[in-house]
Amino acid sequence: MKAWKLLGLALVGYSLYAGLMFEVPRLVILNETIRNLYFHVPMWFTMIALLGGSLAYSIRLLRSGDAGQALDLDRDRQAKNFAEVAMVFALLGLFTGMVWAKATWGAYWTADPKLNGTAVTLLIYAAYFVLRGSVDDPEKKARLGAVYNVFAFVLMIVFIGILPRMTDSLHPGNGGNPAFGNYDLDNGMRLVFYPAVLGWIFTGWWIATLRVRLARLTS
Amino acid sequence: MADLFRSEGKIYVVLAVLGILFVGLAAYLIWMDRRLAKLEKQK
Repeated sequence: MKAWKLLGLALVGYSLYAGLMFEVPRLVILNETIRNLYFHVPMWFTMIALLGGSLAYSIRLLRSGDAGQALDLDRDRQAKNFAEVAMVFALLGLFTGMVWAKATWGAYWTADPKLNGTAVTLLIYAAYFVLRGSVDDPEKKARLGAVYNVFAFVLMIVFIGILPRMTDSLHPGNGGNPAFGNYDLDNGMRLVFYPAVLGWIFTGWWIATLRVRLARLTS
Repeated sequence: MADLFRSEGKIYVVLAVLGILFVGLAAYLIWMDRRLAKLEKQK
C-alpha cells in the first residue's frame, strides 16, 4: 500500500476528530456549523484536483496520437474515471452546501452566482459523458472527449472561480464577503482545514485510481 | 454553540458514530486496493 494513500486516510481521520473536538471561533448565525468548513470545502477542492487530473490525462491522450501513432486509450480510461469520481465529489459538495445553506441562509438554494456556477459546471461535465456515449468508435470517442474536456475544465474555472468573485454573492469568498481564509479563518481552523483538504484530495485520487484499475481488469 | 451538549459528554457519541463510519470506509478502500493488486498479479 503506497504511503500517500494511508496518509490521506490519516489526514481525513484527523480532520474528523479535530473538526469536532477542537475550538472554533464563536460567530453569530454560523455557531457550530462553521465546522462544516472542514468537510464541505474539501469536497470542492478534491473535485478540482480530480478534474485537473482528468484534464492532464486528456491532454496526454491527444499528445499520444502525435507522429501518426495510435492513441493510448488507457489515458482516455483514466480521464473518464477521474471525471466520474470528480462528479461524485461535486454532488457531495452540492448536497452538503445545501444543508449548510438551509441552516444559515434559511433556504436550500438561492439565486447566487457561486451556487448556479457549480450547478452549471455539473451540467457541463454531464454533457461530457453524454458526448462520449454518443460515439461508438473508441478512438473517436477518446479524441472528442479529450477536446471537450479541455473546454469543460476552463469553463469550470470561470463559473466557480472567476464569475462569482466579480459580482454580489452570499457565498463566503465571493462578492465582497470575507472568504473563510481572510480573518474568519483563525490559525486554529487552518490546523484542521489544510490537512483535511490534503487528506480528501489524496483519498479522492485513490478512489479514482481504484476505479481505473478495476476498469483495466474488466476491459 | 453546543456548550451544554458538550458538557454532557454527548459529543463523544457523535465522534464514535463518525469514527465507525470512517473505519468502515477506510477498511473497504484498503480491501479493494489489496484485491485489485492480487488480480493484477494474476494477469
